[in-house]
Amino acid sequence: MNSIRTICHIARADFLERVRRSSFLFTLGAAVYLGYAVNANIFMVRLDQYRGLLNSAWVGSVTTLWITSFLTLFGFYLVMNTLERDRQTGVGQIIAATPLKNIQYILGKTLSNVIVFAVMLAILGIAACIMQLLGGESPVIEFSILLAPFVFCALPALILVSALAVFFETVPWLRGSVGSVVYLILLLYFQSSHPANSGKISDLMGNELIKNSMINDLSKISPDYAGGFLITIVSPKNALKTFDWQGVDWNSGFILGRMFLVGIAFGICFLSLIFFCRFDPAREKKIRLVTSKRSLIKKMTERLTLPSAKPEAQGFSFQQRLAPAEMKFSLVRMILEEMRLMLKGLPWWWYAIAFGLLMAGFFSPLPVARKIILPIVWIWPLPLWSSMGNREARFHTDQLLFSSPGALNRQLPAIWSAGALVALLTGAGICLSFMMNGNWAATAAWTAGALFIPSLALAFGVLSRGSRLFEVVYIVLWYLGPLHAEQVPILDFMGITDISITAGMPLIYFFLTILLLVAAVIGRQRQLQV
Amino acid sequence: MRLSISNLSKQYRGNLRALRSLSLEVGSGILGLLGPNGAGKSTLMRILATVTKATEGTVTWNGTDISKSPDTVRSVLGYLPQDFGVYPNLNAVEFLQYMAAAKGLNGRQVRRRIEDLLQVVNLNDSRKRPLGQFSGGMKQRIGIAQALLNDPQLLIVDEPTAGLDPEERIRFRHLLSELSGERIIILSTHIVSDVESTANKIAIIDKGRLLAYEYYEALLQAVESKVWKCTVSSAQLPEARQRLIISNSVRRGDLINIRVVADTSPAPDAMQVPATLEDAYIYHISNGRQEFGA
Repeated sequence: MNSIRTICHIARADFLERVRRSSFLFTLGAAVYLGYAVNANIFMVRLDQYRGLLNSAWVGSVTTLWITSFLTLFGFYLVMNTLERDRQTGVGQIIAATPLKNIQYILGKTLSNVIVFAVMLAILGIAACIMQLLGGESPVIEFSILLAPFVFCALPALILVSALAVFFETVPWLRGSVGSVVYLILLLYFQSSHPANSGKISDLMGNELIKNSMINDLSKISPDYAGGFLITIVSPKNALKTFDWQGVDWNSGFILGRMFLVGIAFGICFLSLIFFCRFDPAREKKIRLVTSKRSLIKKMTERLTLPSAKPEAQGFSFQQRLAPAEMKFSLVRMILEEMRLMLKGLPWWWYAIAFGLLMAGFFSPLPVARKIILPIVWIWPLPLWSSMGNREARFHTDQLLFSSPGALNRQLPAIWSAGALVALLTGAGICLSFMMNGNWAATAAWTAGALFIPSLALAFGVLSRGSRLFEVVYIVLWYLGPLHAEQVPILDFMGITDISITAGMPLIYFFLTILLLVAAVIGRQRQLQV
Repeated sequence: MRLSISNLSKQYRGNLRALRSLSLEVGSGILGLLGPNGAGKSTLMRILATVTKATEGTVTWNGTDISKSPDTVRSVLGYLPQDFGVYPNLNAVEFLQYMAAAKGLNGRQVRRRIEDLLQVVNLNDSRKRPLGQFSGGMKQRIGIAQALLNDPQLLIVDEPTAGLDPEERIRFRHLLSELSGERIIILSTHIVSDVESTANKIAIIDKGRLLAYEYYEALLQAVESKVWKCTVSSAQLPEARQRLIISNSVRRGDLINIRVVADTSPAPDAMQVPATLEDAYIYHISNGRQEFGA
């Protein structure tokens, strides 16, 4: 009983800390908008030229389908900071010195994530009720029918996301940008439609059951229905026909499956225990034993050879010892320093893969280099770009740097230039290939992409004072744009296809680059004038 | 070289007033800034270092308003904040090279100066070790080195001896004393002995107000013939604490020797003793709280 109370207190404290941050208001705002957009048919579900009557079953299920699509993606990145917060504030070390058990801590943090999602679900549930009433197609709200998909589909999926977020935070290499990409790949797999999974445990989102129920019911009453199903934001040209859908028949097998999913979430919490280091920096850093031994010996030697505290004892003057300092700012040197800061600490295999991609870009046939290699080349340096503009806040060097001359007009351009150099160098192989083939339009589009990425990173890093916003937006943009360039040319910021180039997207991204740089300058200026 | 602080006030969100109409004229030498926790010392340091802006009032460096032209002072400033971080993957030399580039120092000469500074702060043996492996005291010494990179005319150090072992603390005091010639050094601390051994002028602030701004000798003179030593029992101590300004107490068996700052003799057996800076500090803080309310 005491254990449960402890877990609840950890969850409560963590939740309150989150709620009292201004960013939580944006989260709630986003939830309210999602609720509005789904029920106002901005975000819609349609079955060819049909949609359901706005009754409790349809409104609840459509909202759930969008929730599971949106919140399992954005929600993960939203809640994946609970351990990091304790690490950064130093609270973690205080907690580590208490009798608190690791499992209590992990479960408490997971519960806090679940509470955040539950608040969002509650808002979306209320929004669904209001929008059903405003829709006027079915004035009676049947709460149990409306809320059932929230409880049976969305909630278990989000409990799983909560546990996964904590798990990713406990595994050192999954904490940063690599983890963000790994999660995206996992999610894309599970979100992609697998009709055979309907009602099974492998239907993690629970969407297949809802989708199949809608398709089957409409097929029975409308012979002209061809079996299409779309979760989309694209409005049809003609008005949609409506059909009366009475909801999913929630069978006990499905509900047991969802409970099993919650059980898996518990299992993931226990799995996290293997990697959870209890904020012990010695276990968190992968410092080889040899290095530790060496540094220990060095420390001991240092103690033994410590010079006298009294300078006169050695007959020296501090002032006479120091070489003179001469002021002469060099932007090139500042850029090189920023580059070193960006690259320092990367393992050798990072460079090896980057070099491999550079060569692959140059030697591969042009269509392959453009459509396959280029997106990979420009997702690989994500960890480098994600620290742009927020490194000072993350490592608390902001006071040192912001009190230096030209914090705005010297350091900021240097950070951007370093980021742009990373993009230009990693993608140089493909660019050379474009130029050798005389494809100047693709070269221009490539340049637009190379300048746009660091600008996006810098602006989002400065404005959010963190790396998460850029990581989420860039990964989503990268997935929807370059990977689906033919379907969504407007987001093709790398110029993967001729469609986007013909549509003038490179020019638009040049313009966006300028806007982002202006935003970064304004953001940094505001930080300097607190 | 002149730093003028005029009617400086800072108000944070939630109506929290960190500074209230504070004025100071600072010339060459070491100014020791004393005050209890939350007195507004760090806020004042941050304003002087152009990291924070004042709500009211002005700060001028040789006649130039630093809020309007911050780079004027930044180019001659060395600043060691109370809380600062380092980049854990860089080593000491790389970090100082980075800071030197940010401060706009000449690349050719900077290498030698970094080597010299690492000797001065006694980190030469650890120069190639990643900063992530540094102890708190070593990190503090790197902070001191970066503050001295540009040979600053205005050196602002906020709680610089925090985390340093006694030997390093003495070493740092020597360094400050030696550097104080033709520059302004502002040393903020709540450790009276740090100021006592280095500063020639001392400002005492509490709750954002300036309570005293005097030369060391003048501060002592203010409490001359007001410091007493007497003995009380353990049972009498709580009552004595309520009634008197006690600057120190030492237990000797069942009795306690107390050091009292008072205009008149606090007890029949009280003996007058020479004043220290700690007595002067306690006297001004207590008087300030009586005058402006606790």
